[in-house]
Amino acid sequence: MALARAASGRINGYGIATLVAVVAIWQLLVDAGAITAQYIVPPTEVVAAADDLLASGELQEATLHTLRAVLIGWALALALGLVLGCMFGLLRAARTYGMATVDLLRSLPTIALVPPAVLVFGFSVRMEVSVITWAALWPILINTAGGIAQVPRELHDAARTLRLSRLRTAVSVIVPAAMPSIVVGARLGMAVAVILAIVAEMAGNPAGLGYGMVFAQQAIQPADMFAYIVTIGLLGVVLNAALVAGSRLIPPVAAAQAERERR
Amino acid sequence: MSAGLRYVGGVVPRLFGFLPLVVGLVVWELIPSADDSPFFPPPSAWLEDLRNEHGFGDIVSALWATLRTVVVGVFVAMVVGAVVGIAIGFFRVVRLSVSTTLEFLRALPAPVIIPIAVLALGQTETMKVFCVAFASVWPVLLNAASAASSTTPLLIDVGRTLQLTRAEQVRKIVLPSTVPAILLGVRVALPVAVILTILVEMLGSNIGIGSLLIDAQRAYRSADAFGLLFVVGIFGFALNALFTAVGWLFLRRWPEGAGVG
Repeated sequence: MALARAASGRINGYGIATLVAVVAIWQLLVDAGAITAQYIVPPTEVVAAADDLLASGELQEATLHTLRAVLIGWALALALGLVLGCMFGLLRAARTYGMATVDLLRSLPTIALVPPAVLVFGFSVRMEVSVITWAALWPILINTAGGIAQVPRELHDAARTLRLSRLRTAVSVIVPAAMPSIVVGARLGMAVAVILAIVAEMAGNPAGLGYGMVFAQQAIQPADMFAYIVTIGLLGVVLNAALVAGSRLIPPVAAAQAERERR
Repeated sequence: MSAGLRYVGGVVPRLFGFLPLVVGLVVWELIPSADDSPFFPPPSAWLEDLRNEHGFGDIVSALWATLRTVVVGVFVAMVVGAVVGIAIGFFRVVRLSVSTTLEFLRALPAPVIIPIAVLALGQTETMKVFCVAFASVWPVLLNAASAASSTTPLLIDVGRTLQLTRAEQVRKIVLPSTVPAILLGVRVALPVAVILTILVEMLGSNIGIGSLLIDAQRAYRSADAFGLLFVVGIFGFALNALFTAVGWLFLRRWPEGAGVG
């Protein structure tokens, strides 16, 4: 992740300059008439469209709808994924009699679940949440189980030396040691949850940011469409940043972070 | 992630692992009310509906259309991702310049590219391939960049000693050492590509397995929808397995520790 390293930490002047330059060139090309494609609108028009959408309240409403579906779906996936992940990580029998099923189910292209989900739940938030939960469950489950499986031997031995019960070992040794990996799973799950919310709104439930975007496209309102797209991008960035900031509050994760920075 | 998975999966006899799935399907089949449920049709009804509604040939040709879009899109993503990724990894100024823009593009949920592409390119095969390639380029690009920037310094020094030009250094030293990482990126990209292909087909195309799925939803044929879901599941699983096998065959003769493992 050299890229992430270059981007984080100190402010990257080159990077921001390039981003600004791209937007400026886009604007200039449209102004100068170099791009005449009818559907490529200049950034100023996108800002104006976003302003209109904000004034009418449509953009806020759509954002709240999508955000709610994402958070509910992700929270359900987190709860389920932690329980199942701990089960798969701690119990050998669960791995023997279940891992292949997990591998098969998680390789199912989630998008194909939207039509059956629409038929079962109708055009509703429940349909979105069901699809989001299904999709976000797998990365959380896999990372929880994987993190637990990779807890170093010495920690198991230390717990045994201290004569901790199996439950106590799991709660106060194994799960904290696996916490950094669990957080990675939660972040991957969040990214998947945002994508699936948008997808479910594009192809299923007519509400939220995904629907707004597709509706603007079909109504040939490219400025509105780009306004929705930028909002979707910002939603993803903000949720990820919130999760990263939140995870720093968990002691084992903060410790692992400090360790990495010391090296 | 995949390392942990391999560890968890381990050497257990794989077939036992399908037990919950088989039990689940059997229970679903045997629940008395399942027979006439409009929402949860039993598995036997899926296959029956699939046969009645489409016939074998239709499904095969739909899968073929989907497969073609996936493969062409992923191939484009692999080439573009490798070239741009290596440029980013090998040249520091390029990396610094594009990283902020790339971080935003990468964080953007891939499906948002579809409306833009539909407006700019119309409902064409080019549009589909563009969307699939856009969505699957990121894992390849980031892996290639990371591998290219961490090429063993010793190898670079060997290149300098042999007085290779910059271009030769990239072609003879950096590219070979990034191939394993690029293939790993493609493996991560493959499921994303399948999802994007099906989504593009759902939104206003009349070929491919995605359009069959959305037709089943619009006509309220839930057994058909579940049956197609089953077909898509097998398709995705087979595609992953196939690529894993191909990648293994290809990398079997790669020197140990050439890339980032």
